Amino acid sequence: MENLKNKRSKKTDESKKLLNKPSFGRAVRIELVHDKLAMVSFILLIIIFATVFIGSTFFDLGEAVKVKLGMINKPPSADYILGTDASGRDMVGQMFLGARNSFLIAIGVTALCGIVGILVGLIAGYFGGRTDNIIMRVIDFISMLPRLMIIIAIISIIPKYDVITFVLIVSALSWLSDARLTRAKTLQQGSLDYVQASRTLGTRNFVIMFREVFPNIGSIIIVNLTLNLAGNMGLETGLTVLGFGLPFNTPSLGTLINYAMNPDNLQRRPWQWLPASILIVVMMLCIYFVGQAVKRAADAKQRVA
Amino acid sequence: MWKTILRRLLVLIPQVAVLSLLVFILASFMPGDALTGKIDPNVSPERLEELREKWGFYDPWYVKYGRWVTDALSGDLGESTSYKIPVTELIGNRAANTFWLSLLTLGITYIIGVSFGVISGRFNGKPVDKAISFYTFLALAMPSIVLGVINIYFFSLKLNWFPMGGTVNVGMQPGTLSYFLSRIHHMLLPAITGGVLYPVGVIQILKSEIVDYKISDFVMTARSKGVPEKTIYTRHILRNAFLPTAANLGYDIAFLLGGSIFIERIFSYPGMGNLFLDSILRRDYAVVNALIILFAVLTVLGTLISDIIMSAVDPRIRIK
Repeated sequence: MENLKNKRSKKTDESKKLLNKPSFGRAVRIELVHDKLAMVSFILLIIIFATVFIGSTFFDLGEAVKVKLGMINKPPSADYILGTDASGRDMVGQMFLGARNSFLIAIGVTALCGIVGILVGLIAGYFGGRTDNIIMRVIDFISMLPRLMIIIAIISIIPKYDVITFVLIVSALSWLSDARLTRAKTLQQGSLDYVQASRTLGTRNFVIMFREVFPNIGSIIIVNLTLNLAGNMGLETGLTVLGFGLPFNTPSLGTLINYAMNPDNLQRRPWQWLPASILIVVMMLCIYFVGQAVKRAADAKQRVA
Repeated sequence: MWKTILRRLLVLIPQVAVLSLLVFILASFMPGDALTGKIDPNVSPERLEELREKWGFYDPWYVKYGRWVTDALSGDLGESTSYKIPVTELIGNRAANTFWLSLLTLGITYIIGVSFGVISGRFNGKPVDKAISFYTFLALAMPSIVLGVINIYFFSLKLNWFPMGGTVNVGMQPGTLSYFLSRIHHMLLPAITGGVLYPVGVIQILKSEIVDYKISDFVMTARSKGVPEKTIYTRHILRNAFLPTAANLGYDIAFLLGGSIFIERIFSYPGMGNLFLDSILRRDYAVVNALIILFAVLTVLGTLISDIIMSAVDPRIRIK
């Protein structure tokens, strides 16, 4: 009898263990610990962000954007570790500002696209039928548009634009992939028993969508958003280098790489654009490596750990 | 299948109609007009107003749109205000440049993509696969404009291997061998810049296909029959694994023809991407409109070509 009881409790313990999947956050942690490259990237990212955000509060930014005519185009020295630009501004201060702006804009675009994409995708996938049809036709139409060209055209029309308008314009044309992914995943979930059961119980549609379906597909969308973050950073950089990105009073890393568009700077003053170029590549690379670990954590079949 | 292709092309017509309307409304909001840059003391403001009146700048947008559509249907996309030649002729000239650059880029992309994809799939998990996967991440993380700048700095300025931009050396006679070589020489660095960044998709598709086929039943059977490993790859695995890669080609062609704005700009290569940026800056909206619509059509055609290739190489797939 005693024996049997033991056996039974042992059995329930085991089945409990099987049912208790590690939470998404825990799975990500386990993946990061096992993937050294992702761990190093993660630490490097934290170091970069800490330096940039703490640095830009300690560093006198008023000093960084001040024009000093006596210090024009000075190569790196003890006073100015990364040299100065054509207005005598310290490149270190500009790097702090630029990296911060680049990152914040990428976050802004990714978050906005995520919110719109998830909302539209959930509605299309959950309600299906005519709603889905109309939404998908709109998405098909927008994805036919040459995104880069439309962004450039709109930016050149708007007479006065700032960071907020830039984020809105880029987001308006970039939420499609998030919406497609969310819709596809919602469609899968919609046919499952738990959704049908909840419907039968009379749960309100929006409660089912956000409290019941969304938590089940959230991890895959988070993966997509992480990878989008790096892509958006690259897009902003490219647009800014071409002169169709941020307004000139908000420097980003693209603004610094833009110095290279001047052949004289390109050839003789690599300190003005090379550090920013390297920094953007390192930041994007780290985000991709971390994103890859998060992706494996989201898909149990791919987990390394 | 012909019916399907025809239907897909017919669907394109309303899409292009809506797009052209949007682009047209967009253009009518753009500041300035073709005469803004031409204010010179010899022309009186009254004369400019007269010209604006005559060219119909003050007509409401739907009148302008109607005029544009009727012209476009007869093959006349208007005249470029900054180059003083018909838009169709201008785009035609630049399209040839973009076409050759895209072809070279595509060649490099697929040579790298296919060879790395096969190696990476065959030696999955080995150090060489890890090195290739690191390369794909680096290529993903590198904005093309940044690699372009770095390449110009090192290969054009420091090592002096390639020219900094343009299409051909001055003073070359068209039609001669040296002219041809000079053109290739000018295209090489932009093509390499694109060609090392774009193979990521091909590598990833090919690798995952090969990894999947490696453990499939027919490969196991072949292996247990004693078929040499090399033959297994050439005869059994690769033939199947190449199918999705082939289909990817259509997307790539459309993407390359339209997506080379950054690279053309940084290498000041006179292609369509560069023309687009110049036209935006010069407020030459006839050209801008035509290019946006052209690229949208190319995107749709690329998708269609991909579907056609897919059904051509794989008889199991029928396009509906």
